[in-house]
Amino acid sequence: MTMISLRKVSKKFSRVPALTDITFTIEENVITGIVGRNGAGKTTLLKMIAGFQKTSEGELRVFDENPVGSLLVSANTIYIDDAMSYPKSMTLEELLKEFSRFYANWNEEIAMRLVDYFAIPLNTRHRFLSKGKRSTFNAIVGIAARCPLTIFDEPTVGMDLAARNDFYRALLKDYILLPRTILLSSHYIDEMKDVLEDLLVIHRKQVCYHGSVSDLQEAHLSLRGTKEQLTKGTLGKTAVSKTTRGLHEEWIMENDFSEAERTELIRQGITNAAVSLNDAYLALTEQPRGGIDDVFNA
Amino acid sequence: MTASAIVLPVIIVIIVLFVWGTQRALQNRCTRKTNFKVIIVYMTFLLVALIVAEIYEQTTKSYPTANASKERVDVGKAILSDKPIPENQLITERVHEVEGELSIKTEQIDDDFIIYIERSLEDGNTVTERVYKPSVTWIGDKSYDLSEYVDFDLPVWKETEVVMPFQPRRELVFTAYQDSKFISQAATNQVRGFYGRNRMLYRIVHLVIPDNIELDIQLAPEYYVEVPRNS
Amino acid sequence: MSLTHRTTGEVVKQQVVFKLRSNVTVFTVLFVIQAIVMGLMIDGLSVPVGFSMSNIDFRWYTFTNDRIVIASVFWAPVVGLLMATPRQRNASFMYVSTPVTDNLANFCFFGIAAIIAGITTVLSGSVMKLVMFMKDGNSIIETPGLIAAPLDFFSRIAVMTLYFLLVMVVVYTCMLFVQMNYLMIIPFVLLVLFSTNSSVLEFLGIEGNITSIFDYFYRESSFGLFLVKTGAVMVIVSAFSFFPSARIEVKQS
Repeated sequence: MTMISLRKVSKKFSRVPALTDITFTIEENVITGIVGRNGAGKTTLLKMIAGFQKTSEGELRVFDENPVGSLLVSANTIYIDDAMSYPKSMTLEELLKEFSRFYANWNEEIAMRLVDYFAIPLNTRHRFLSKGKRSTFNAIVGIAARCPLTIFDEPTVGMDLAARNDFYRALLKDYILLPRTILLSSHYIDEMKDVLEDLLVIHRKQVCYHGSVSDLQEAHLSLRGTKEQLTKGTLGKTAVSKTTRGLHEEWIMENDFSEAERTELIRQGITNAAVSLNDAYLALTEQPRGGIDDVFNA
Repeated sequence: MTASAIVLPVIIVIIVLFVWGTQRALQNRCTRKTNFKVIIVYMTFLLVALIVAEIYEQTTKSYPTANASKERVDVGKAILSDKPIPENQLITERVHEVEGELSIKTEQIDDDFIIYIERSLEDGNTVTERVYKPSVTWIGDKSYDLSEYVDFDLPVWKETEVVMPFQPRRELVFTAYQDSKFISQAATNQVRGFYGRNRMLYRIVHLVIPDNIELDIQLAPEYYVEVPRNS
Repeated sequence: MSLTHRTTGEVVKQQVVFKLRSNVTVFTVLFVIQAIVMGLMIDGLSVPVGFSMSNIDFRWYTFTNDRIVIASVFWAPVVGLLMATPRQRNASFMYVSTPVTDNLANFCFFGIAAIIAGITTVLSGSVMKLVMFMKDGNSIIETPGLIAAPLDFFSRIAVMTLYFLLVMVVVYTCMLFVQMNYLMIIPFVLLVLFSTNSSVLEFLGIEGNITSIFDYFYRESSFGLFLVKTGAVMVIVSAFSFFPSARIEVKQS
């Protein structure tokens, strides 16, 4: 069943485009990572899906309804980001009680266990927590709400490495218990790679990749060698990014190499390897230049 | 453009900002529980105040009711025109036996009384004295007849003289409650929001003195009135 | 996972409870204001009126909840403003909400807030009455209380409640329009200028008088008609509020 579908959706903020011509669909019970560089339009996209903001053009359907003003969408969606507007006078315990009243699938037990595990003091107010704890509390809410559509917009901001790993693990465990559609946006793509099934890459206000994580990795190849070797060896192929590492360079290529070509590369002294998800993503979202190095090499 | 037209909106804005500021400060500082405590304490306080005030209101009967002042007669005019004066305006009526002459004096130079002196046509020794309540009317939100609350010492009679005694200074204090007129627009007891007009008339002593008694009036002219004889 | 279906009524009810819980401070503020004014008024209208004759000092102290009423009226626009802030909107959208349920829940919140404020303002009169009884002097009740005139007592609560509600709804709706488009502040400022006595625009030959707007409500001595007048204005104004509330986006940052 299709949970979310966008057709030629654009969003403008007083004539400045934030997203242009977005088309994709997300199926039920899939965990999709939404990634993109700063200002790519991830948050705007997620807010539109949650029904908080309107599309400027195109058609956006969530549960086959226009999410703006839809009670069905609101009742079945939870949106977690690092700027939750909790009432200032309410303690965390009171906030959790409110969530349990509003969300039909709210799991009190999971919530309390997670709160215990992460040692979050329930009798304080949200703004008195540290940045990491604040994010952890938000994340717990997102998990325990068990909404058919759960949206996390950069949920791990401020969390330490252990907490981030724990969060993704908890999310995955709870997802296995009760599968649901989860949208997850983060800058730390490597951390969430174990959780993700699909990846939606937004670049320059457009979708530049939507598909499975493994497909994205397989679509690229990392080559290392000297500049001369690489120039000669990749003649006629497309490089998506080039980085200088000392005497050697690392080029990420579109993977249209045949098995024979790859053997030939090795023979020429060029090492080739599968790219990490992060590299593949960076390759997708960077111009085929040397990246930040070019700024200093010019 | 008057000054108030500029000042008033500024004051209103300042007050609203003040309330807004208080709201934000409390929102930041107080937890929900603290707020609840304040609310419960305040509501209880109001309810107790209501109950106690209502009990007071029911049991305290001492306050003067608004008068039906139409029945009240201007004593002075009535004496002069020989009209009947209702009994309830009279404090006391006394008779005194006086031999030959009567002097009328006062111990206090400035006092608030008027003596009406009426000479009866018959001869005799009996002087009739009628002392009337001073009429005190207070126009608050309603009009009140507060005459009963004014106390004073009666004239002192000694054989051939009558003395208006020295009156100690007396305080007459009233406290009144009226609901705000801004919210009483639909109430049957309309509140006009007045407080502060009054009328007090001097206390009046009416002496009926037989014709044969010689009078020695040691009073300034404004303190007495001679009632013209009815022919 | 099957979808949860909720009705508007259910969500509005939950939102009202949430709004009451998260905004209890609103009531604390009102009570603090009322208590402060009560404290200031403990001596009655500070200067007694009366007169002095040669041997009588007549003093008359009036106690009234006039100033508590006036001070409380300033609280109402703040509540209207508060509920129209983006923060409040974001908070309710953090839970289950749509623009319609949020708006309806706000009106219910105003209703409850106005009733509580109406009751406490009228009851503050009892406190003043009690203070009056405690003072030396002969006590006079010029406006009878709950037992003596129950209808008047409740009519005061109702009138006060309606005034509060009217102010809240009007301010709230205006603020929503302003949020939808900041330029909307211009017509509201103009409206105030037009309706203020001796306005800036007088030299243009435009004269207004804000008191006539006030009188429209205040001169109404029949409770039924007052209810109809305020009710009609509130219904019209609150109907307008659905227009901007459907257009303001959530979490604009």
